[in-house]
Amino acid sequence: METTNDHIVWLQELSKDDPMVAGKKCCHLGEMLKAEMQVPPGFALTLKAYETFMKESGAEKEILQLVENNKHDLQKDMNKCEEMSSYIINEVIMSRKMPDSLRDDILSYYKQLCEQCGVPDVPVATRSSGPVSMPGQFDTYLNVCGEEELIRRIMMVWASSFNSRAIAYRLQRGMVLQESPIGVAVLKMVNARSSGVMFTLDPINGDLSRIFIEGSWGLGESLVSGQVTPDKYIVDKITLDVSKKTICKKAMELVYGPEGDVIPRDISPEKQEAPCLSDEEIKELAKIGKKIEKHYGVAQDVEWAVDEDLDFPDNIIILQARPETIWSKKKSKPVMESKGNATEKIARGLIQGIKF
Amino acid sequence: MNEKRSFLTPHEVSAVPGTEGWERMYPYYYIFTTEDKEMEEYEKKMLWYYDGLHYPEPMYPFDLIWDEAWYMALSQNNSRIFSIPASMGIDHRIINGYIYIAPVGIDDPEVIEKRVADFMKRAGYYYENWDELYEKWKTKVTDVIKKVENVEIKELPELEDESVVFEAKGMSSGFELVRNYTNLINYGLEAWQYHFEFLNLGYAAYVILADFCKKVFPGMDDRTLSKMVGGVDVILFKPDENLRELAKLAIQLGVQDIIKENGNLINALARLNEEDNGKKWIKAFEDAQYPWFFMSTGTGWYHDHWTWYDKMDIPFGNIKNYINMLEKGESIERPIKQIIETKERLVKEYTELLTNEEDKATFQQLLGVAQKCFPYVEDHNFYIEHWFHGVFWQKMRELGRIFTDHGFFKDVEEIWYLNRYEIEQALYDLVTSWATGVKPRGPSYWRPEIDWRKDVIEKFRNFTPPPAVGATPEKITEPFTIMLWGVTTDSVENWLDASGISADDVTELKGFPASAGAVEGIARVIKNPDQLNDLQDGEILIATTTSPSWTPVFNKIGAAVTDVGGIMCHAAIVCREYGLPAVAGTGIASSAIKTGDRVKVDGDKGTVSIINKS
Repeated sequence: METTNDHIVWLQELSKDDPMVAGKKCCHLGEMLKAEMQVPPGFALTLKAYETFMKESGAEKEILQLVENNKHDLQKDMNKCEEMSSYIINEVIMSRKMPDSLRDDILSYYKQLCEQCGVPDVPVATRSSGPVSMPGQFDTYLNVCGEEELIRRIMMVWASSFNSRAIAYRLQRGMVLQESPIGVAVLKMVNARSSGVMFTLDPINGDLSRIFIEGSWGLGESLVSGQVTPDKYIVDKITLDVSKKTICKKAMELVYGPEGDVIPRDISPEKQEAPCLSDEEIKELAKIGKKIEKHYGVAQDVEWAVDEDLDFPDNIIILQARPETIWSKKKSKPVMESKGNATEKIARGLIQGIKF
Repeated sequence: MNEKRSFLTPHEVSAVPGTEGWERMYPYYYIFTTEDKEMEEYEKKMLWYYDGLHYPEPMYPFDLIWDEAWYMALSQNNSRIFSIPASMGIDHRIINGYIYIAPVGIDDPEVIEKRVADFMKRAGYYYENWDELYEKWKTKVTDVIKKVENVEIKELPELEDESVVFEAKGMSSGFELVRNYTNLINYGLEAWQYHFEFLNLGYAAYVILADFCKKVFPGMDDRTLSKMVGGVDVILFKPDENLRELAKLAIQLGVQDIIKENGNLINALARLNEEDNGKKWIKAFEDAQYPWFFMSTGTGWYHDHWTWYDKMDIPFGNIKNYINMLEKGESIERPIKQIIETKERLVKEYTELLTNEEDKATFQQLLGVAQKCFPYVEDHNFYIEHWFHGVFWQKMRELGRIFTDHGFFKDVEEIWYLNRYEIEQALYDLVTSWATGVKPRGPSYWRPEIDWRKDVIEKFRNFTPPPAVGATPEKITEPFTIMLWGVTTDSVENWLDASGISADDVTELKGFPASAGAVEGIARVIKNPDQLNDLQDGEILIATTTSPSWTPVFNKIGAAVTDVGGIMCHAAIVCREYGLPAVAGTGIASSAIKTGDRVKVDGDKGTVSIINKS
């Protein structure tokens, strides 16, 4: 990696071999930009930035001490984690000040991003980006506007490396508690009409010839948190035909309120049971999924959104892509053991019988 | 839940009132027996399922000939010729006019292993030399068709021609007629021997490839699979291709308006004949017919599945449609280049998705064999069911004419009420009476019997054949049963669920989710291709099964539901092609649903609900 600053980099400066620079999510986003997949523009705070903050602010020292003193309690009693987590986040981390050099760097990149998007105080998302996969463990903040809010949210993402989920997760796996640096992706917010997830395989059976899409109105959080039963689409990866659509009743959506907070909003009755993606959008999304998978060489788990302000096909934005973990880890076993010729395989198949 | 449910035993199904004694219409070996106890036990322990795939209607005694033909031909190829490892043949019976079949498997692993070696040698020889053997097959089949075409069914003369004497022939027209009939039957059975020479090997290659694909890509669309193995130059498309050429020619010659403006063929031909270009077109029209107009309007299995030769207005109407399309600037060409490109792209992309080298190798091997076999699988129907049957039915009608002239029948179409053995007897009766100059027994013997049989067949039409009788197997894995008839462990379960409920009380049916989507509409039950004209736009087609020649009606229907058929059934394939919902293999839709009922078809769930009975 070549960069002038080891605390902060533009996403496109990262490549997929750099998870130790700014975490997995950031380097995937960088990789996608390089492969010309539409992701929101943005920059990344490196693991180094996290370490610098923890060190220079004095937070690291205090946490080390705390963890050492309470080691036994923590391992025995999960409730302790909750308590400890809350203390570390609120009292140890959030009460501290962002070191000046770091603050200047962040604000300078943010200013450039605002200029690039043509929007003053452009709303951004601050997303956690761990160097190892710990899905859903860390926090992500959306619709972050303005300099002070940005600095605060970045610190909150860092602090989430000590949330109770993350502490418990590390304790359960015998991981070192105090050294878990995470990166932060700062991305322009997408003005999401619809959003959701996409797997470039069928999560039910691992079928690599299908693409599975879930989506609902508004922001993707309603779907991730389970507040809405999303529409489901299954697309044939080879023909790009939509093989199955399940349209669900989506009574609410999450949108940004005037304060930049995420608020629920009712969906008009006629829209509730309408599909949140058009057929051409489904196809385009699947096409992008196919491209991403081809680029990385393994099946992908993708977060996407459709930007209300943009025209098709530019409106389809990829928020995040990471390798699918469940099916891809299974060892691929040959379906037919026999090494024989075609006739022998047919004979064996006939004896075995078929199942449909 | 665990309560043991079962089908009726085959011996428990009672005769339709008023048809008692129906068994005598068919050969004795088609009848379930209670007299031979050993046979009865065997019959009880088998699962017999209704072959609605081939026989949506009750069997006319004569039409049973093709069932007899494949009863033997399919079975022998599995059991005695190619040594299909785990299969003997398929056994056949008849209940109230409907055909039931039961695959006979082999369980002993040692026997199976022994059969594998023979299968490898024998099937291997066919797979390796497929193209060359297929060429030979075409010669054998066209030879037997020529023989049937040359069979002379001639009226018996008052006095034999002098040539019989002066050429010292030594035999009469009466004997020749008897012999020609026997030949006709034997040519029919011979054609069906060839029908199965390649067929099961072809299906086996396809089925095992499909099974492999379902295992690695459970969601692979069957349509995609057939695109990967399907041939480009398919004979079954040829008849239609000729019509498209004729449409183009009509425009080139400037005679399209004459064709369009004349309602029926006879008027159009008369008008065309008045002009030079019209004459040219007629010549081309005549040249395009043989043998392509033997294309059946149905499957060709029944005598009343008329060919284009019988119903010339059908191909003529298609020509008019093509002319209209051309005039609107639409393309009527098959996109050959695109078909080939798609085929190559699909194969490449699926191969890339396979995650290990063994699977890649297996896929290539199985695909290679299936591609080699598929032209036969697609084309054999034209040679046998369309062309051969077409000629055969014509000859039988000529024979029917002679019987009618001699007072045996009221009209030609009564010949179908005698089975092939009875016709042999009746014919002997006829020629001996001709020889002796005495009145034949036939008219007084057959006329009341035929009237009774007509009534029986009509009563059979109102009988709903249960989807299966006999023992309930643990599970079904026999590949042909599943692939072709759609009989699976699940469908047997569904049938059991529905058994005991009268068809009139059924409000929800289950089947295969054959093509996605949901739609509501008015049902139209089609039992015979002649009824297809009644279909209105948007109606839901309900049928025992559908056939390739029904394809044009899929343009106007809203969905299709069949009693019989699996993932490869015609209705399912065409519905996916047209993006219509379809549910296949419901077992009883064509009897539980009546024309005019309002139904909802859910092709995702595989359910059909009756919302309003008409």
